[in-house]
Amino acid sequence: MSGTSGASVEKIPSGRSHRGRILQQAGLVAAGVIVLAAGLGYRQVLQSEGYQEQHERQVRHATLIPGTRGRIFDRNGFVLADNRVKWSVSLDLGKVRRAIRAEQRRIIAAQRLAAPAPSLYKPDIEQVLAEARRLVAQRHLDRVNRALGEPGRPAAFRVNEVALARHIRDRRPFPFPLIPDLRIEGEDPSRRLARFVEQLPTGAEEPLSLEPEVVRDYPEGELAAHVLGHVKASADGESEDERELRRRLAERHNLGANSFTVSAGHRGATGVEQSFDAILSGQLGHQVWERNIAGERQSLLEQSPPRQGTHINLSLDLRVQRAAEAALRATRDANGVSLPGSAALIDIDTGEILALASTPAFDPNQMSGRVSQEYYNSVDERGGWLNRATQGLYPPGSTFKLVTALAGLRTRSVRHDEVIDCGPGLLVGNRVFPEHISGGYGPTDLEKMLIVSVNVWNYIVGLRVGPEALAAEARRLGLAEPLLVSAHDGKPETSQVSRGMVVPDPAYKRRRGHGPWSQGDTANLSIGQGYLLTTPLHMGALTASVAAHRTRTNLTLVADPGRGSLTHGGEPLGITAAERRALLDGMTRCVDEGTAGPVAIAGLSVAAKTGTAEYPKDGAKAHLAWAVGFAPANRPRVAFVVCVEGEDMTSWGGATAGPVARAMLAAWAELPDGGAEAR
Amino acid sequence: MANPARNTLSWLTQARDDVAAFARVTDWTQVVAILLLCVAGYFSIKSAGDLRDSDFHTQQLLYMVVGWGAYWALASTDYRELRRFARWIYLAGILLLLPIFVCAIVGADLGSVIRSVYGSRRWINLGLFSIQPSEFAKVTTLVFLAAFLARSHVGRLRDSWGAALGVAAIAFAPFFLIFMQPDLGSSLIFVPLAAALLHAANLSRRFFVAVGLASALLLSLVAVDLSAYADRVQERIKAHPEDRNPTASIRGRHDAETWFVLLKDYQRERILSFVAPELADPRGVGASWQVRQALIAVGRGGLTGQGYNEGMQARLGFLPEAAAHNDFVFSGFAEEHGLLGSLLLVALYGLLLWRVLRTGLRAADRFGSFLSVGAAAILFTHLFINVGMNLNLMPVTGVPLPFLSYGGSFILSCFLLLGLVQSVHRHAPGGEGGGLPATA
Repeated sequence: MSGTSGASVEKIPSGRSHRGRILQQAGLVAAGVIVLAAGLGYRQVLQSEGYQEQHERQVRHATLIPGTRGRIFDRNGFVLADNRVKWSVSLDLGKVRRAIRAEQRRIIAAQRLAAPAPSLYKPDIEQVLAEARRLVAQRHLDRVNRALGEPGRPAAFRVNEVALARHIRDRRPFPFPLIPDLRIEGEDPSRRLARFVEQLPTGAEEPLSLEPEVVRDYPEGELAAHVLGHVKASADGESEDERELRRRLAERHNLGANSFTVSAGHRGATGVEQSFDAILSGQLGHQVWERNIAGERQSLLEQSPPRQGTHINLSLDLRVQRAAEAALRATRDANGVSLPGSAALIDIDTGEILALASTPAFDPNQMSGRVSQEYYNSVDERGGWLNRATQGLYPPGSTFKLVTALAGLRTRSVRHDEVIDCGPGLLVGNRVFPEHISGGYGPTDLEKMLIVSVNVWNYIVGLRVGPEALAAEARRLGLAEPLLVSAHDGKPETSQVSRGMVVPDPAYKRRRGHGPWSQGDTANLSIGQGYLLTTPLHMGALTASVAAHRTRTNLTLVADPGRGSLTHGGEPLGITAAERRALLDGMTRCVDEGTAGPVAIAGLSVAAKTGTAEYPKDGAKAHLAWAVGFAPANRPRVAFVVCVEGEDMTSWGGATAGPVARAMLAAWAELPDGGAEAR
Repeated sequence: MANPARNTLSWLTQARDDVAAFARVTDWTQVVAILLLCVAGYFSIKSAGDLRDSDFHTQQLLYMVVGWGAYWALASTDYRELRRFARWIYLAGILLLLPIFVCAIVGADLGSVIRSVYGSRRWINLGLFSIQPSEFAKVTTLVFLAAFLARSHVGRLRDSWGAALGVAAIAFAPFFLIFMQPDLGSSLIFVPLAAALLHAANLSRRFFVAVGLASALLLSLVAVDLSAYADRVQERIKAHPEDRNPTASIRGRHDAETWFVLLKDYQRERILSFVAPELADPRGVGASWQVRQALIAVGRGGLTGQGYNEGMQARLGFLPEAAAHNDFVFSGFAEEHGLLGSLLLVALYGLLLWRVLRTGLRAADRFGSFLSVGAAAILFTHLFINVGMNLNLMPVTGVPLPFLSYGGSFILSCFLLLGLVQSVHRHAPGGEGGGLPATA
C-alpha cells in the first residue's frame, strides 16, 4: 500500500490527458480488432481451400466393393463355379455408441466403489472400453439367439472377444459380425434367415443387420480343380481398375492413401479363375463416407453399385470330366497303391478340351477364404497342387514312336511297307539297345511296329533319320511350344501353362554341358527316352494332329463349337495316303490285337498307341504308363491322352493307362452329340 | 393508509417513473451487445457438444441467467459504494485463491474439493457446482486497483513511483497465486490490466518504455530456456525416432533438471509448438493437434460458413471435445458462420469494448473511469488472445472467449465486470446520479 497519498483526487484529474490516454487505448483496441479481422480474412478466404482439403482428407473414407464374380459353366451349362451368399448377423458399433458409453460409466462407477481407496481410483480407460463393448455386443448376441429360438451352436452364445478386438483394430468402420455364417451344416439356411428377419425387424436405429457376403462356391468340389483353379482374398491395389478408381476418388474427394478400404473380394489365384480374372471379376462399386474421429461412419456422400462379372462356358464336358477323374482315381498298381496321373480328351476338329483331369487334386472351396495350413500341407503331401496334364514333365516313351515313324517316312528313310529285320537288340556304339521282349520281333514293318511297339525298328529308323531331323519333326509337331495360349491375345488360358519341355538335339546336349551327341542318344530319342521331356497334353495335341492329318492342334478351354479347323495353324502332315492308312491301321490293330487292348470298347473303333516309359521315381526306376489315341478310328473326332505315374516297374501303358482312356471314351460315346452317333 | 387504492396507484406511478428513469440512463447498446454474444455462445456450445450429446449448453444457460441477475444487481447499485470496501473485496478474492495455492505448493489434493486435473489445480468443487477463483480475482483486483489509483497522484515518473509500485504489488499477489496453480494464461491477464490502468492514470511514457525493455529482457530469458528445452526435444527425437510425441515423453523430466523455475514443461511445449510446431510435435498429434484442427475449422468456414450445426470439425470429434465448447469455441463458430459471421462477432466485441471505454471517458470520477478501463483491458486481452489462438496468431494459453466459451465462473466474472461498467455509465454526468457526489 505504499504510495497511497492521503490527498484524494476525486475529480477527473488532468482531464484532457486522461481522456487522451483512454482514446489511445480505444485506438489500440481498434488496431487489435483489425488484426483479428485481417487474420480471419487470411485464414477464411485466402487459405480456406487448403483447410477444406485437410478436413476432407481426415474425415472422408472410401470403401471399394468388388462385383460378384461371373459363374463358370461346362460346355452344356452345368455349373462348375458359383457364388453363394453367406449371411452374417452384424452389429453396427456406431449405433450402439451411447449404450457402450453408458456401460463404460457403469463399469467405472462399479470399479470405483469396489476400489480400496475410491478417491485414488483411476480407471484403465482402454480396458474398460473393451469390456463395455463386449458387454453390449453380448447383449445383442443374446437377442439374436432368443430370436432364432434354438439351442444353436454353443460357440454362438458368447461374443468372440479376440475377433471383436481385431475388428476394432482393423475394420472399425464396418459392422462387427456377431455370427459370421448363419448356415449350419445340414440345415436349410433360409429358415434361420426367415426367423431372424421375422423376429428382429430392422429400423433405422436397429444396430443389428443381416450382412450378405458373397463367397465362391464350387458345387462339384474337387472336380476339374486344376482347370478351374481357385480364388483368394483380394489384396489392395492389385488390379488396374482398382488403381484407376482410387485415383479418381482420391482426386474428387481429397482422399489420402490411407482413406481406402477394400471390402472382402476375391481374385483368381490359379487356373481359369486367374487367367480369365479380368472378365470374371466384374466391376468395382464404391461408397464414400464421412467418418468421425473414432472412424465410425456418419454420412454417405457418394456411391456406385458393383456389377457382376461375365459368365464363362468352358469347353469341358462335366460327364466326361467326371468319368476321367473317377477312372484316374481308381488306378492302382500291383500293390493296390493309388497312382497319380492325368488324362485329357480333345475335340479334334475344334481343339476344345472336353476333359482335363489330374489326380490327386484339391477342393477349391477350401481355398477361397483363409486357407488352413493343415489343408495346404495335406494337399502338398499328396502332390495335389500340380496339374499333371499341363505341367507334369515326362519322357513320352513309346508314344513318341509316332514321331519317329513320321520322321522316317517324311525323310524317305523308311517306306511304310519296308520290312526291317528286328533282332533281340541293336548294337549302337559299344552298347546293345534291347527289345522290350526277349528274342525280338523279327521282320517288322510300320504297321507291326505300331501294333506291338517294336523298339529295334525305331532304333534303326531313328539312326537313319539322324538326331537333327528327328528333333525337327518333334518340333514341327509342336512338342517344344507352350499350349493353351489364347489365339486372340496371346495370353495363356490357364495359369498352369506348360513350361520346360525338352526336344533334344546335339546342340542341346552341348549347351547343357553333357558332351557330344552319340548314336546311343539318337536310339534313346527314337523310343521317347533320354533327354526328351513333354507333357501329357502335348502328346494329346500331337495325337489329335496326327488323326486330323495336320501338324498342329490349337487347344482351348473355352467352349467354342464353331471354331473351325483353320484356327489350328501348322501345315499338312505331309505323308501319302498309303502311309497314312498304314499308320491308322497299325494304331487300330494296336487296340484290337496289340498293346492297347484294354482301351477297346464294343461298338467304337479306336486307334491307339501305348507307351511304358522309364523314369526315376524316388531314386529308383519306375514305369510311366502312357496311352494316346483317337476315335472313331475311321473318322476321328476325339483324341485322348492318359499318363499314369507308376510307383515301380509293375505299371504298363496298356494295362494301367488303357482303362482310363476307355472310361473317357465310353463316357464320350454316351453323349447325345458324341460317340452315340459315331458308332 | 386512509386511502389504500390511492396509495397503491401512487406507488405504481412511482415505480413506473423509477423504471423509466432507470431505463433512460442505462447503456442499452452494451446490454444488447452482451445479449447477442450470449445467444452466439449458447448456440455455439450446443453445436460443439452435439457429437457427445453433452448438456454443456443448458448448464451455460443457467450460468447466463445467474450472470444476468448479478449484472443487473450491480448495475442498479452505485459503484461508488464499492470504494469503501475495495480492500475487503480484494482480500476476499485473494482468500479464495489461497486454498488452491496451498494445495499446489504442497502438491496434494484436498479430497474431491480441490483436485489436480492435468497437473493443475484451478477449481474449488463445492459439490453442487465448482468455482474458479482466478476468474473472480480478476474482478476483485480490478476494483481495488481502480480504488487505489483513484486516490493516487500519478503523472511524471519522479512523482509516480509509489503509485506504480503499489499497482504492481496489488496485481502481483493474485498473479503469483494463480501462476502457481499453475495457470499461466489466467495469471498473465494481470499484466495488461495493470498496464492499462497505469496508462490511463497518465503515468509517464518513460515508465512504459522501461517496462517494455524489462519485458524484452524477460522474453529473452524465456527464449534461452526454450532453446535448452528444444535441445532436449531434439535429443529425444534422435534417441527415439519412432516416438510419435516426443514432447509428451519428456514432459516433467526436463522440469527436474532445469534452473529456470518460471515455466513448466507443458507450458514450454505449448510455446514451442507455437514458435516451432515441426519440432515440438513432428507428427501433429500432440500439442499442435488442437491448433491444427481449430485452423481447419476456421479455414473451412470460408466466406459464408458451413451453416449452423454443420461444423463438422467439432461434430465429427476432430476438434477435441474438451476444447470445442471452451477455448476453441470460436473456431466452431467460424466454421459454421464463415468470415461474415466471424467479422460480425469480432465487430460486436469491438462495439462492446468501445462502449466500455466510452463509459470510461464520461465517468463521473476517476474510480469509475478506471473500472471501465480495467474492464475493457481484461475483455480485450481475452478476446485478442483467444481469437488469436484460434487463428494461430497467438500461442495456446487456455484463455477463454468472453460470453462464448463455456464456464460458469468465467461468464459470471464477465457479467460482474460489465455490471460495474453499467453502474458507472448510469452515474455519469447527465445520468441518474450524474456528477453528484456519492450518497452515503
